[in-house]
Amino acid sequence: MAGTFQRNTGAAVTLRLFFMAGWRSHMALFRWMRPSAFFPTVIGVPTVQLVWFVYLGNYVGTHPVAYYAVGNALHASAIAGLFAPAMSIQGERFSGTLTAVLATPARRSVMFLGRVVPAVLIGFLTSVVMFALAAVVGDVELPWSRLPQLAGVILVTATSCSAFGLLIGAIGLRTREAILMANLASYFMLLVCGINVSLESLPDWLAAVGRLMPMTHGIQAARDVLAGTTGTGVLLLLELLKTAVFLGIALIMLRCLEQSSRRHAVLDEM
Amino acid sequence: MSDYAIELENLSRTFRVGPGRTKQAVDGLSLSIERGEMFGLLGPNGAGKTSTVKILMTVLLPTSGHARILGDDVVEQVERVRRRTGVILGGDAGLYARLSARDNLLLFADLYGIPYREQKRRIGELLEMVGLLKSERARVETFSRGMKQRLHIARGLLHDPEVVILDEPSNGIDPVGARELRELVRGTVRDGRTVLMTTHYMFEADELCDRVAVMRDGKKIAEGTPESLKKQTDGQVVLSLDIIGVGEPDLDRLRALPGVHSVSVAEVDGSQRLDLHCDQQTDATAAVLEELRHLTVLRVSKREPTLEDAYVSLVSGGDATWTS
Repeated sequence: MAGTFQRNTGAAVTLRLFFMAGWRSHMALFRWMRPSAFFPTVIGVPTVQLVWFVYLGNYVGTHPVAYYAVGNALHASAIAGLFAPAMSIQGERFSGTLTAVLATPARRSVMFLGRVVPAVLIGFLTSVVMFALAAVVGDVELPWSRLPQLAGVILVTATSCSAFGLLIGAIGLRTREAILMANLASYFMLLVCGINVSLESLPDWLAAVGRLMPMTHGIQAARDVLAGTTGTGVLLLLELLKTAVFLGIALIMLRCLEQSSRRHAVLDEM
Repeated sequence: MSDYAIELENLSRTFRVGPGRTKQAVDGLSLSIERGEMFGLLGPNGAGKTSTVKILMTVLLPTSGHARILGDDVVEQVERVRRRTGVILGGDAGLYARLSARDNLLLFADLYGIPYREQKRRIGELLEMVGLLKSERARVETFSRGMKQRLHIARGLLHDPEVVILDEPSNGIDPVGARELRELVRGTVRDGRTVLMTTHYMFEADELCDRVAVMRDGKKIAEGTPESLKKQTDGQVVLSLDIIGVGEPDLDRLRALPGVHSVSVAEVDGSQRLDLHCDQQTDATAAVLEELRHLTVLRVSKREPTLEDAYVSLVSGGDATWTS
């Protein structure tokens, strides 16, 4: 007899929706990335970017090369952080699974937040590799005693970028332009987040926008940690606050745009 | 508790198709489907079947009217509807091509909130039921169309829903695969479920459904048992002509002839095939050939109407009078 199947809405089920469904969705949408494509995309692009800005910075001479190396090493987490959540919704649309997924009773907040976790992990690992590279080519000193603190900064920054990526991804529920938006955000962050250009040298309004973007306080915290300065806790709290705001807006947008997509019949549009 | 598994009440859905232009995909559709019933929704492409299914799936909002599943409104009680309804889509959409069959089911099992211990048992049972146990680790992108469709069925039944909606399940499947699929669909009804199936294969509906409704241009034009639909063609013959160059004005003139119920046209090997449903008592052959004398007629034949003809007569003819 149908309908007698036991359903459980307890913590174990919620945790599986968060971790396992999030991970499987990630695998489902990014498995096309074999090692031959994965490493050039996730490691190759930030490597070229870091080396490029380190040598350009050295030539320009505005800041010590370590300034550019740290900024770009941390920006590496934005590639996974922005694009993976953005593509996780856009990719569903392209693979024709969005309608089937949204026809399930899964709690949207848990389901979509779970998709951020793989992006945070990949972003974190990418940045770790880039910091190792920064030590080799960018005059960045990595004392053992400061590595745990630096790891914390990288994790917080990668989370902040992924939260912003989810916000961009939410747009993918209503339009097809999420990837374009992620590209725009990534380049905009290069300018306004203190990666290669200090906020003090930007017009006040642009610097103010930069402070609202993900990563800005994380980069400052990373430089402070490596310089042995105190007070990074406040910077990390600000970065976490932004993360919470990004996630909150993203979840509201996901809810509103899902409703709007049902009204306007755009879930199947490629 | 509602007496009906699915109730549609004056359901309508309008789409914007351009600046200032709209299309009425579903137009005042009312249906009542009883619990345990297998109901077929028939109609040509663009009739409004898929829009109706999407409203029942809760992924499309109706413009007006109501739809209820097991008494729950598909707009107001979305989560209850989703928990109690299984959706089986046709074609490639709705499956993750790069995951294995088992991983697809595991992912959806988590989305449906099925506890892990239950997942393992349920997925094993379903893979065996649909004959995919040996291919459970293979990526779905390597599957044939028929295998994908069987996986769709397993996915739709994962959470043991009381109501199952199938949207053109046998589209693009070879005859042997389609027969196996129909057997699986029959099995879901035997388990006590209510099934709503859309199809444009009349024989499929005839074989599986207790009752059917035919849609055209968003409206329900007929409803009843397949047997009563067949009776529509009692006393009729089908006059079939292979012809070159027939146009809409010719068709209009043919429709106006006495004893002609409906006219349908299809492109066949560079020519057109006209099927005219005519009264058996009125021999319309001479009148038809007279109307088409300016065209090249390649072949004329007369035959007894089939069930498919009854359906074609309904969807291509004037307003139906058939109900039961």
